[in-house]
Amino acid sequence: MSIRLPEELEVEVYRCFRCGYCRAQCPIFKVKQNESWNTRGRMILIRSLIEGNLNASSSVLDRLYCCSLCKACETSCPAVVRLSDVYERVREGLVELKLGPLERHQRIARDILAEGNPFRQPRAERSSSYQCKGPREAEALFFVGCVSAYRKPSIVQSVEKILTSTETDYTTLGAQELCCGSVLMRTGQTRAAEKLARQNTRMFKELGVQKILTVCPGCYLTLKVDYPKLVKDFPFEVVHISEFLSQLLEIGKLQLTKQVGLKVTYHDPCHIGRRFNLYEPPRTVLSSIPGLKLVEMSRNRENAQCCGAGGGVKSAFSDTALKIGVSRMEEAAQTKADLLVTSCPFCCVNLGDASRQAQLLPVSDLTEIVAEAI
Amino acid sequence: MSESLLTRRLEQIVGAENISTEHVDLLCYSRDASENVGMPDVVVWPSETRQVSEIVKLANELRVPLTPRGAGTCLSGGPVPARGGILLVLTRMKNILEIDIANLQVLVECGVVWQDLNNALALYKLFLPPDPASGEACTIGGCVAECSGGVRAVKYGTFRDWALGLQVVLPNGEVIETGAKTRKCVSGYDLTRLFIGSEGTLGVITRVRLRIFPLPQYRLVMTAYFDSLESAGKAIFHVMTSDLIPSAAELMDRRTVEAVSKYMNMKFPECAALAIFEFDGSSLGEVKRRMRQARKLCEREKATRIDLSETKEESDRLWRARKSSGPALATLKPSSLHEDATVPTSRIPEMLMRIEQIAQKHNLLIPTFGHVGDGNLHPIILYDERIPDEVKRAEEATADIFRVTTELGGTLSGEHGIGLSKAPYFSMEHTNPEIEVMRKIKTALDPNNILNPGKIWVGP
Repeated sequence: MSIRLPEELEVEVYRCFRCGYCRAQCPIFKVKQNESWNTRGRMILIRSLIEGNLNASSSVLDRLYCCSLCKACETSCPAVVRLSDVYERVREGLVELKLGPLERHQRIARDILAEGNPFRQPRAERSSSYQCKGPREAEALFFVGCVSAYRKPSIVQSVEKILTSTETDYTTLGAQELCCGSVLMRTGQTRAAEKLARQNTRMFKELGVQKILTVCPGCYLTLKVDYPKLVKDFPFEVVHISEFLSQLLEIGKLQLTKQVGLKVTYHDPCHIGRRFNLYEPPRTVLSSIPGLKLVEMSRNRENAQCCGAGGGVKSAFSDTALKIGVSRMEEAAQTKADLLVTSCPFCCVNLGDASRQAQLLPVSDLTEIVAEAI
Repeated sequence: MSESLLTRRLEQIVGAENISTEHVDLLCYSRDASENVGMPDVVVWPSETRQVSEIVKLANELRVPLTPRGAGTCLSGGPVPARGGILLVLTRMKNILEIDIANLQVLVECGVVWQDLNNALALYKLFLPPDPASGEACTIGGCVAECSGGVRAVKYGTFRDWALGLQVVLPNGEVIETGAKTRKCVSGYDLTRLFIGSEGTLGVITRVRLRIFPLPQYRLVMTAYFDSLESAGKAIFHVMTSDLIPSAAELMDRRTVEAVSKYMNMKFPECAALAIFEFDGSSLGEVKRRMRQARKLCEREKATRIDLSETKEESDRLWRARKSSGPALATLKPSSLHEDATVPTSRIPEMLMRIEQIAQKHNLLIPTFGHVGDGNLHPIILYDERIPDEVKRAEEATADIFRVTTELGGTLSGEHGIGLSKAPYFSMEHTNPEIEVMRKIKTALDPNNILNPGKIWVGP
């Protein structure tokens, strides 16, 4: 069975002429060192799938799903092929043909539809760490996201401390918040994601908020780019916390007064970095913390290496995600920083796991260190 | 020979985790950056010379073809296993063994990536000058096996000019060291140069000793726009025959400029051709003087506009645009042939004209860009592989380009190698006795025709 792509994306596949420059960028290739796990290899496989010369075997699916959609390959692609768009559409096509996604991703979809989160945690426990139990009327909605809610409650507490101290009129959806559907979108399970988008959007509208604040770049990308396509009418301003904090600093509402005597390096999350060029806001915020010294890794901003977790990789290929995480933490260790700061709860989880395994420097979210400095 | 015997023996040498016969892997290793395809039977990743030697011995014993491969960025089919067999992927042998600052040389394993080496050298303010466009990905072993060049070859030459010695695994598995640790060496035949550019047909290059050079402190870039291709060609020729010694002298024709500006989202002034010059050195005043002189020569050829890149970012952007010429052009039509025909510098203006005539004659688009300063052109023949008549015309145009190239005293390949792509045209450049010498060398070293068979010339 051959896979069909819309004409505009099929052309992209044929524009890849296998120069191989992506070898220098792909984080999966970095740990696998095998061309079939590199962008060029995936494009060869996709071309064969389109032409009907290849069966979507489990080996093929593994190659197509073991990509964090970090877009690093796109920074080196001289033909500027829309590689991550192709990957996402191919995954969607595989799901439509009932050839994908991977078993692990199917289970995540079932869990999300059952409990509203991908971790098989009870729905009611989502807001157990929240200060604001919500929902209530407010100017802004803090969309917490599953990773923060269930895996990184300290991030939720930090965000709420910041919002309270800056007298931001905010609410949460409390236990009613549903997974944004990011992992479903990235693994091609668009129909399931659409259900979540509709339900979440209905709640956003009922609240009457205009601004939605996310701490997770995955939620940010999904709400900002995918929701308007999935639900059509999506009249909300989606803001990432790093942007928001830098705006608060600018207007003088955020006062960072406590000394944080640390040397810190910053890891750019792919979904706000290469996707939206949010490179400077988090750095501006970090540089405003008294006593904090910011040092850069050799690969930063658009050249930053992915943490390895996104795109469904950590759930289905945890070893690979961890290895990539370790290699990123090794880059961080070379800066001799005391702490790695990122602006993504999911990067925090994976880089934190990697750091513990390799016994390297600790990892914090931007909001955690900001909360410390208030 | 059963495949299981081969894979079992290979497993004994490198371990089961370092070989693959999985269809997905074979498929992904069946291509390079050229139009050629060849499926290997097994992909092997050795990690040391001893393993390479044993694998080659095994291939010889079982009479299985063996194709060495680096990063697979080749543009002529060199690492494509034309006759199947073992594909030997050397990218895991990637140690920089020695940076010898006192003697200005390095010793590296074949799988070291060009960019990684230059990053390591930059810490000592040193560099390896030949700079293939694929530098971020390609390996030093591949560069040597294909005798790669690049933009700066116009001043610094190709890998041939920088390799001092090689460690080579011969087709019988023996390991030899060629050359010497000295700049000069006339001790016997120049085996180093025999293996450089031999495209993996004579031996597997496992280590390379290279000269390195102090990194110039200043690099300034100048772009000159012209309203005819010929005047751009002439301007470059004048700069090359002066004492200005540019470290790059590149040309892009109108279609290349248009394609690049579209794909890189960069704006260029309207022109029929543009020339990019780079001047490097350690005295800013001297570099600027040479650039001013070049500017005058371009003005004499009626350049319509001349820009100087003030910052490194601007220069980098320009080089990135230039290096994306091939891929950008490749997107204009479904299929493209990337040639690297090279003529003596004095024949450049004529060659550019002749390529235009060939394009007209065959009713094809053949945009041209390239390292014109050293006569190395990259005419890109664009066609649609789904239209038989266009395929035929593209083949005829290719033959015509090579015919003109040899007529003007040039060569089929300046830096990409002959591989599979240009093998059918090889006899246009070389007489039978010449080819016979090459065949005899091949037979003497590789009597069973194990190493990368099917390359360079057509036939056994």
